[in-house]
Amino acid sequence: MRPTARRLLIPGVIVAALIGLWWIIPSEEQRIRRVLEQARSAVSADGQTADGLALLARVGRLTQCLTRDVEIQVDVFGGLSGNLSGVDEVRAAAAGLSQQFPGLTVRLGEIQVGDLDSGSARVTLVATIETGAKGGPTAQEFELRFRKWEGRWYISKVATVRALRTH
Amino acid sequence: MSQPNDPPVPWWQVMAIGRNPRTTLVRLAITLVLVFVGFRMSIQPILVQGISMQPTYRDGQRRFLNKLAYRFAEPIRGDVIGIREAGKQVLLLKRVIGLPGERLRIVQGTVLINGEPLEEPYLLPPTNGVRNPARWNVAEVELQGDEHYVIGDNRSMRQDDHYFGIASRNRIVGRLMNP
Repeated sequence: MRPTARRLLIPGVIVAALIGLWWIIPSEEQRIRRVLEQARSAVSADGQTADGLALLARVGRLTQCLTRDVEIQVDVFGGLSGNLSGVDEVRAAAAGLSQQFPGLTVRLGEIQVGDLDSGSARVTLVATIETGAKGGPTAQEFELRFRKWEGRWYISKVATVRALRTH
Repeated sequence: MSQPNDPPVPWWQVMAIGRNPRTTLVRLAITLVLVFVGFRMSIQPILVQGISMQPTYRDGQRRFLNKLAYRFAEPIRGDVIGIREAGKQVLLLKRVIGLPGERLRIVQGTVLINGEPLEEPYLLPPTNGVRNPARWNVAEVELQGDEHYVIGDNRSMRQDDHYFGIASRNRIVGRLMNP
């Protein structure tokens, strides 16, 4: 081995190890983003069928992301609206939603994690929702609260963010 | 750099790409980057969708938003502004009618600011038998320090179908450039 290559070998190995560690041990924000992606993929059909077992699996994946006392207050232009309280209500609503909108597609963007401490976090994001029914996609901003329990992050609250306060 | 013995550069080449093409290319790239960054920071192109700002702005029109307009100034009454609706790309286009600290209500379609009727020349006279403004009613609201009351110009539509209300200062992106 050439002397230059030998000199570069050790720093290269250290940098590679650091990158590997970064992948293996994600930051809290990365953990939160992974929970978001899991929830998104569970809600979104993404070409999957909504038959019995597959539907159950998707709903199961979604509930794994939620606290038992999760609160959901959703009011999206185009008809998706409702207040849900507790994981059982969410489970029932998610199953109904998947059957009502089998082509439901959700994409997440502009994810911002804030107020992050050891046990809680606040996330704002923009969800682009396509129900597969008439009309184009609807973009809606959401605010989510996360809670950490036994080392894992869970969604404890979801609420739509409206640009204007009406009265 | 050119040497005294180098053949002279033809005038057309000097006009087109300069004496030193490489330097010209670098300058051009820097200029393009600066223009692009400046444009992104100061101007946002928008496509008007919906009917809430008719007749001033119609569905499908293209306009530009000046994102620097409120960097050193505050929105004033009558400004047509862009309000962040969902992320950075989806904006609401509305007109400012109420400013921080003011009391506002709407009685039978007339906007009252601190009890005084507001002149709204941008509203059209009655069309198709529908009065513009129609007879909307909104209970009195007192605007806080960072709140602006915004509404569309199309007051001939049903009040329930028109999305209007109080916008926080931090959601206001900029002012429409070409009203």
